[in-house]
Amino acid sequence: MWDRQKAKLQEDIAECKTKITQVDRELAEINKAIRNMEMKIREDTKAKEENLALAEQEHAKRESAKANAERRLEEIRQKTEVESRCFKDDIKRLEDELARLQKSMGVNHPTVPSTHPPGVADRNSTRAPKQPTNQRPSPASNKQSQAPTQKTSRRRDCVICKREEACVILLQCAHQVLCVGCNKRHEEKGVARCPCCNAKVEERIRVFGASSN
Amino acid sequence: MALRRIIKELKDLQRDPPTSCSAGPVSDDMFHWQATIMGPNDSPYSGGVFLVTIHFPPDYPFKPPKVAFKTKVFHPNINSNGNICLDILKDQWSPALTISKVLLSICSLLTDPNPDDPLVPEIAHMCKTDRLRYESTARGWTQKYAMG
Repeated sequence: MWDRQKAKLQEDIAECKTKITQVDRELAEINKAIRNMEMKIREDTKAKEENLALAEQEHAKRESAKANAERRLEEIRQKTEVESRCFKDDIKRLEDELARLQKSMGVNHPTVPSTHPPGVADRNSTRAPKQPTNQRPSPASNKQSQAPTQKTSRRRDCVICKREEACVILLQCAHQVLCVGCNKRHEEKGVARCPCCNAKVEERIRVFGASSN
Repeated sequence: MALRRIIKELKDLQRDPPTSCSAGPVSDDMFHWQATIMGPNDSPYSGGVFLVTIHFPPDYPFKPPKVAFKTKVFHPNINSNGNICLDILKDQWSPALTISKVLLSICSLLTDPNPDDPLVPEIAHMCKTDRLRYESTARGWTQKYAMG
């Protein structure tokens, strides 16, 4: 009886030992797992911190970029404004210059005839002796009365001497191409044709512009 | 009067010379000029340089200048003496014309001869009936007398 009970107890003891060993092993594993989990937790925490840092950095970077963009936009706006102002100033200056040139061109017209006052005087003196011999006083006086209303135009030179002003109209072709002196010589030479178109000359009329006094 | 006009024309020529022509006084005599005319490209006279003399009358520009070729030219309107049959140098002269325009007209005459109003009837006849022979003869004369 005792031997059988002793054997049974020994079996129980062995079984408990085995169980203890197993439990110890399990405990070791659990401890290991716990250590792993702690490590993982630590890593996760670290990663989280890193991510937060990165997020913070990204945020800061974004803020910086935004600020930069805004600053650049402001610069561009200011630059555009300045350029626009410059262009407007240029346009205004050019318009002023154009107006001035137009004005000066207008002013230039009256001064051109006055550069030949002796010629005008000479023509007048040449005109005077011929007055008594003039056989067509009416047309001449008509032309004279029309003179003040004539528009001042650019001076045209005589086609013969190329110096004096052309102030004689040849009819019937109505070409105004001779000066007083050359007209006289033209008539004296017996040339009865217009130098420009070769038409027959029937009448020679002295005309007076605004510059002829 | 004539002298002033001639001097004016000379100044105008020097300031704005026409193409293929040049002219100026021979010596101190302003009434005696010498001109050169380049043969027009589209004519048998191409490549030639033709010498022309110009004499102004005392009553120029109411009378036309006397213009004559010094270089021999095979042309129906230019004879062996160099006389030129050109209307503006005779009855169709106008005081409005200038030496520059006269020279250009002579250039035009070289390009387009007028055989219906000939100065040398034989050349005019050849010009009408045997154009190729006329052109080759003119080209030969140009190479012989107007080059080099």
